[in-house]
Amino acid sequence: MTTGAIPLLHEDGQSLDWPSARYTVKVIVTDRSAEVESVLEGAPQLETLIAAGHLQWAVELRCPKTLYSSVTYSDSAICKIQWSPDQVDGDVYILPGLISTGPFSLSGEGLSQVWKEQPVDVPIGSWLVRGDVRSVNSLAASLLKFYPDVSLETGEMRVVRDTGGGDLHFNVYVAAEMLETCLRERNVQVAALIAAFAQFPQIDKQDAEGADDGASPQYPRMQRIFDRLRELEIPTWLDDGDEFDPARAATAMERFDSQIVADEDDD
Amino acid sequence: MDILSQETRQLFSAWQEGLAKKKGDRDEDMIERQEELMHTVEQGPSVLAGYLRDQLGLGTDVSIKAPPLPRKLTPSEYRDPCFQLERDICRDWQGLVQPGLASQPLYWTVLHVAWLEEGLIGDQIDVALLSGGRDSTVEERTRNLLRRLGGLAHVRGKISVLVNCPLGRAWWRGYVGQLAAEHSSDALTSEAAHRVLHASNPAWEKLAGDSVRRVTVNNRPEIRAALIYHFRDASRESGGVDADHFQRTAQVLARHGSLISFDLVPWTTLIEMAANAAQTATTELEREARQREQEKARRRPQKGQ
Repeated sequence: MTTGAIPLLHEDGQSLDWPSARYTVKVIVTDRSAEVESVLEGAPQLETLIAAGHLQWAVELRCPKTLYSSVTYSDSAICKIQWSPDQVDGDVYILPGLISTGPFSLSGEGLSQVWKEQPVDVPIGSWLVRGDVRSVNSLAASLLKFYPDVSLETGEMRVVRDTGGGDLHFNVYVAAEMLETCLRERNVQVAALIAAFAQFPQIDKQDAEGADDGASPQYPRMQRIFDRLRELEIPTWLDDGDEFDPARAATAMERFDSQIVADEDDD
Repeated sequence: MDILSQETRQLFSAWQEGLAKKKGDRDEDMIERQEELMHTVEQGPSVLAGYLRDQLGLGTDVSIKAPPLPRKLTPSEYRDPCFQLERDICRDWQGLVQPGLASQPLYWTVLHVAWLEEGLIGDQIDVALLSGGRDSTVEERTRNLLRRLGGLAHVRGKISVLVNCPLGRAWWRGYVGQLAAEHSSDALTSEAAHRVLHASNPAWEKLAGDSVRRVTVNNRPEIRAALIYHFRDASRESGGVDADHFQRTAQVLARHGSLISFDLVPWTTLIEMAANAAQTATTELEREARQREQEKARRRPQKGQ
């Protein structure tokens, strides 16, 4: 199998292989399943290859904590995937894209000049289009866990850091009668998220002091948030000065255009 | 497992964090709690089991259905099961343990309550749970116990349950080996794959570490199958496997992951890729070793200075 370069269209737009093409992804997440819709524009050659059966839409599912990975293929741009609670725990990620299901040759149509000299042999299993890595847990869902606290009055909240389980999350305590509301109300979750972000400077300072070499803490979730803020060019808690605004950072952190939809009642 | 309730989880986190802090954190009462735990261990398995039930809020009438252990284990068998023991465990636990639970330190700690009550961790639980590695202080022995019962996640991260809990490690190695065998086009049996993963604890730790800390293509069962197949002759009896080389080969293989989907690649191509990756890994590691030597030589004081 050749491991020569294959032109790649990436959702983040960094690849210039397909200069007129664009790839976007929409994801709708329900409990233990997701519908991933891929939208491809400006790449007629790829559309032709899809129609001819040389390419298929694919969504890879990864759960690092359980060493789990699977791939679902679809002829349709809308790919439905499911996962079992027996197989996964913690953060679950999806990687959508377009894969070659058999060998074929790409012509120069739609490709940048550097690819036009001769046809490109594409072996089976090659990614030609790739989307960003996405968590199927919303940031609020993965970072926050809500609990009742009988000592709190209605409308009160407290947010406490928790690193049990090996990654960072926050326990959000609310009055018992408010718990169900809080689990549904987006504004409450965002308020808790802001409170959690406000603790990042202190968490980072404490863990840097405690580490053997002063290096960053072992909180993958925090690292991903940091990386994303940098991508969005929003000041982080590690930047000089007082520019870090936890409210600004938290409310900028929707990583994909998704909705968490509750399961419909049977009635 | 219904007994892994939110309340039990909170109690477990609080219990562990009250016994072992990350460096730099301070807790004046921690030493007292550690010494209480040591005293509890000295009193034997049933007393330790009762202590754990109390700490986790598991009433004495709460039944714990733990998968069976083949026999009462000696301390050395418990701390580092031989390959056949790991196989026996995985065989007996087929279908009883799922990865969604097995990734949780609390799960294994609760199972230990049942095994302690049944006397299966043996009578010398101080040797089994406290001794070995660094064990000269109460702090170190406490950490040994917490790691072996299920892992010390808030200190070591998600990897702890896979590498520090001996029985959890046994199951995970068997599970990963079985998945690899299933994706090896019949080139590997699950026993053969498991033997490779058992060949070196450091190699397993590096593989597991790379797998849990990143959203990595390394978790594709096909890539693992190819990796394990390349090292198929490795076993403890034959001298194990070089952990750095094993890890680097996996990392080199994973570099293809942004370009190809391993599940569609023919098996013969996969094993060729693994062989090439192993060669590349050797070259890279040798080059890095030479660079370190050159750097060391550069820093050595010159004669006459």
